[in-house]
Amino acid sequence: MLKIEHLTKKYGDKVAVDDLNIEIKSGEIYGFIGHNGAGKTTTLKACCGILPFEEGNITINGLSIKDNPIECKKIMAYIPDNPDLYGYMTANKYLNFICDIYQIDKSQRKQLINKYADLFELTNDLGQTINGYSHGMKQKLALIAALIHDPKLIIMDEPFVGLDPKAAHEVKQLMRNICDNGGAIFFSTHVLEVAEKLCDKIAIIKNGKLIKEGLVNEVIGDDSLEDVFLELEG
Amino acid sequence: MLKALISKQISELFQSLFGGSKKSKKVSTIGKIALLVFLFLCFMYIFSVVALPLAFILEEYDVMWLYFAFMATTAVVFSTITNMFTASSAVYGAKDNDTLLSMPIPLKTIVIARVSSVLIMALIYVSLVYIPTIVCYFIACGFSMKVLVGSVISYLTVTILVFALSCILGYAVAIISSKVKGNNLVKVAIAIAFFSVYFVFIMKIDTILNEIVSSLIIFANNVGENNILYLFGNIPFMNIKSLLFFPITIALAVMVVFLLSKSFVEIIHSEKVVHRRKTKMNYNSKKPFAALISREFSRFTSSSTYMLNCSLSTVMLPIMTVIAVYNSKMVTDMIVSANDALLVEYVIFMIAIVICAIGAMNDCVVCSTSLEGENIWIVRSLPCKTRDILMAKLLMQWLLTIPVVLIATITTCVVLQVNLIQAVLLHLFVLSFMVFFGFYGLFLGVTMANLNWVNEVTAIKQSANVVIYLFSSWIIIALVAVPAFVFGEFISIKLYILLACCLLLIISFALYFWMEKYGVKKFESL
Repeated sequence: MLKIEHLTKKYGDKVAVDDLNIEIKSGEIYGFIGHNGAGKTTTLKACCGILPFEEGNITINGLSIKDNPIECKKIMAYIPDNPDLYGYMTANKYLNFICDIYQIDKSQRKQLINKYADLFELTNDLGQTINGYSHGMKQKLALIAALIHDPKLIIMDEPFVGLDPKAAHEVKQLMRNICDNGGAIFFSTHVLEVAEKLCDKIAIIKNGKLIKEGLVNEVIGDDSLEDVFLELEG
Repeated sequence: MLKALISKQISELFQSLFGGSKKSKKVSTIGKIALLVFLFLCFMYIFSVVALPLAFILEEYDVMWLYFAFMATTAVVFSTITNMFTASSAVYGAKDNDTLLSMPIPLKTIVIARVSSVLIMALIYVSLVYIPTIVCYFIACGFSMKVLVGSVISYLTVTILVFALSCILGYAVAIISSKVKGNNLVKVAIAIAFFSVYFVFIMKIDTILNEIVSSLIIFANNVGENNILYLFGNIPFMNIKSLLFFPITIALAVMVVFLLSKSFVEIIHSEKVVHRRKTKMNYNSKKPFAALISREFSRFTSSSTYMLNCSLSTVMLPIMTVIAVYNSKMVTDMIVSANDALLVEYVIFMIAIVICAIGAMNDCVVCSTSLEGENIWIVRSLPCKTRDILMAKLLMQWLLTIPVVLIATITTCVVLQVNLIQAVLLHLFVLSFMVFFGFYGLFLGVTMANLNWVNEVTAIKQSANVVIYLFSSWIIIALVAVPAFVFGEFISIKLYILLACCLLLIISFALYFWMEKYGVKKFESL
């Protein structure tokens, strides 16, 4: 589904990501863990085509994000850690904008918007401008916008920040359902318990370099993920 | 603490003007500074064209206090109206107000830091008028150290007065905004009504001042020593009573800052008050490109600052067309009595130039990229072509400008009863300019985008690209217009217009090519 090969991204003299290689197959929930400034967000943004990169190659279902950005973006969705949405739009208008870009027809979009709005308990707030939303509500709206076009790959940067427990539970259920239906999830998190319970595979990144990667059981062995992470971080 | 906050405010202002992106190089920053200085000098030249003859005339009658009173009034009026919306947005519209309020910083300190940018802008605007005023005085009357010191005090007095008035009017704008929240069209209508009253007042001031200038001796003899205009105009001459204006304006400014800090918290949080209203859900679908254009217009109509500052032509051109039609008899009578076909063509050309100059005041495409701000990740992560995103911005500019420009040109053709060739050339000329300004604005908007603003006023009014666009567009119009008169003996006006259109369209095509090849990459790297 997603293949990152020899990805290197530099900001001037600073190497944010150094020769990163990751492969995510369909049906996998892939966790990405690292300290602050390790290169997680840079990697995720490069995968979405938001951040250009100098070296390496990223392919989604065999299509290069550099050569076929539009085709890649049609089958993926991105949710940033702090979703700055169009505050001047109502939630309904924003979702309609997303549906227009993905060319979801009128009857289908109504059904999908209502379905996800009910799931995340935002139905009564769809007519409100996003400026008046709390952080958690914005996070939920960003999730709805990401899910609405049925993406095959979802890239999420710390998706559980700001979500209430019920919403977090719903998101975990959705993530599992998407992967069970052939999709894939690639997300970064600082909540190691969630990564340990939810992910099929995890990767630990430190100072731009991949230091450990593989199935959850293989990576953590008999220890907890927290112990492994702290040991590797030094 | 205050020093740190003011320093932050100044660095935000400098960043917006000179760029602070990681990729900006020293050379391009120096280039921007040089260009901005050049543009400011051009603006000062415009005011000196008014000031110099006035100085010579009034010097003959030995009433130079009237000269300073007139120019100071001009500076106050020009600077206040330019600065009042900046004041409102700078104080109440900054994104980090909540962050600062959560810190152990006294409220007054926050407000003082916020209004420091209003003071800096007041200094800049007043300089555009007052520096030429002082220079022209010395040219007309000779240098005097006493007058130089007095002029500096007068300059500071005018600046502080402009600052205080801008803050008061900005406060009024914020109060109105908080009462009319969400309804930006109402805010714009109120602002336009205010501008209309202001322009009527300006026109009357002009009449009064013309009467004053035309009956100088009578006015000068009748003015008493305690007349406010007399006292204000005598500040440069170090009149003791006049110098009292300086501490009075400082006291006024202090009172204004006190007033602002009293209502600061209430006003900035008035935006957060939610009135849940039942709105009908809309599920109408559009094509992706139409959705991008709709997004641009949603952004445009979401901000009264954006609408008022970036679509002046859309409001002014129809109004001025009506005024011109109302007063057209004078022009048509002149043409009929002259019975000169060449004169008609030059009149049409000059009208075209005026229409282009007013049309150039729409600059939404210039700040549109900067206004993406922290939301840019949305369009960058969506499956839409960057070219389409840029074309949507361009199309919004054209949709706001070209219809009103066409109304003006068609009205001109009807009123002046031009022939077909003249009509075609007029439309071709004006439309070529609007197409060119669209691409030129997009070029500046993308190459000099500033996504790191805390207050949208920075992107709309204070960024280098907007300043350069506004000043340079008029210079470009002048560069196209002047040769028509200079080389009128060698080339017919019709042929000149045709050549100008070709040149503008060639440059537009080059900018279109730039957009396709480099502009897209530049946007993707933001």
